[in-house]
Amino acid sequence: MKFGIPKLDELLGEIPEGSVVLIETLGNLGEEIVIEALKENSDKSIAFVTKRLKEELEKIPELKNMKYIVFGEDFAPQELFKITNKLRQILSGYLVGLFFLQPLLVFHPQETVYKFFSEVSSITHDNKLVLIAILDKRLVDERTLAMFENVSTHVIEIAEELEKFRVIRGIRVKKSPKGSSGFYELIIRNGKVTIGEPLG
Amino acid sequence: MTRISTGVKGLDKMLNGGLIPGRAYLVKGGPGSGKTTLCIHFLMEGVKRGEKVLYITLEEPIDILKEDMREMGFDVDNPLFVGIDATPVKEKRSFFEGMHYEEFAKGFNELIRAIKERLEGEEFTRVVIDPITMIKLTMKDELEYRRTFLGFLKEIAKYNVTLLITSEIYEMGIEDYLVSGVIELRTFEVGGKTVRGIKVVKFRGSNFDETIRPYKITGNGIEVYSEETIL
Repeated sequence: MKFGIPKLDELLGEIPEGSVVLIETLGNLGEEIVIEALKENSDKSIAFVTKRLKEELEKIPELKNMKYIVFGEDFAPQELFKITNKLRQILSGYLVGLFFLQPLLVFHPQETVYKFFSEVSSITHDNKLVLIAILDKRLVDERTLAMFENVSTHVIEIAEELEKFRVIRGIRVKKSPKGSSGFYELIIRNGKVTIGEPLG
Repeated sequence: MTRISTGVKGLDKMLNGGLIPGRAYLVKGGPGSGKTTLCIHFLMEGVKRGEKVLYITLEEPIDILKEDMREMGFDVDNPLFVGIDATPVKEKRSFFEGMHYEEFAKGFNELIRAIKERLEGEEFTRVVIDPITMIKLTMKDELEYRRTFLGFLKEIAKYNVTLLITSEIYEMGIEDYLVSGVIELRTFEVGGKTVRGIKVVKFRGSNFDETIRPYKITGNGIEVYSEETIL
């Protein structure tokens, strides 16, 4: 699997089936990266989304064949077992975008969400899927974040810094079989993701 | 070893293929946990296979029960399904006010005799008594209850039927020791919502899944998620 974002694909290499890619971010920043990957693999992709995000993704023509599993519609937030059960039924080779770790952290303690993520990782490995999950790193403590990283095969980190009222966004590969990288500038304009020059 | 299906696919997986026939099992759980529905699944699975089955209700009037089960799509009007209403309400006995304990206790012996007569007269394969709690509460003497219950199981065993008994009492009782298996239906409160879990506590003569698995009561009955866990 490839993201369809040249520099990121160069840094990560081909992502094999059974991989779990965790994007540690701030808020929803970087959703566009997952969306790029879903577009690139739209014939075999499924998104676990909130209602809001489903409405947005349905407007993207390249994602017209994508299947959705909707938080609060297809399962209640308390029924984590229904999510793992759905995931178990997805065929090998599919790309799964998991967009609702944030709302789960509102309903459950972070340890429970970690256990859920660990189960999800295990199913991804057994069923030979590729899973990309997005997590607001401010919602979990360092220990839990380390546990999330431990069950992921690839970790991408997105950070923001202020430089004289100018927001600079950076992206780096924190963990991957190819190794880690330094920060590169992350530019998101009109939904298009570009990775620029190295930072620092 | 031969197995018979409970009628709930996920539970059969937890039981390593199903129940061992010709034995007695206890289904425990609180009000609304799905004990009766589980028992009806078990009986209707027998009906599907052309077996004659017997359901004895001691609490919920049979007409209401049938109405609810029809809604879930169970074929309770099939002649292979025989339902007996043994509710004390039917005899206008107010056992909750403590007035007729003894009569009802005597009634248990009568009930055992009646069941035996049915089993002698017809070839049933699956029997459900729902719930045993009523009988237990009406018998003052624990020793007498033990003796009666044990005698009942011994009698039933002669007819080679698979028996399910339901109980609302969570504490370990004498039934837990005397039956061949115990299945517990539990509820958990998660973020203001009830999440249900099923656990096989005991299953003599077989390996079984010891994990509490989530289940749901749907419009079509009980669905057990035998591969999932309650996180």
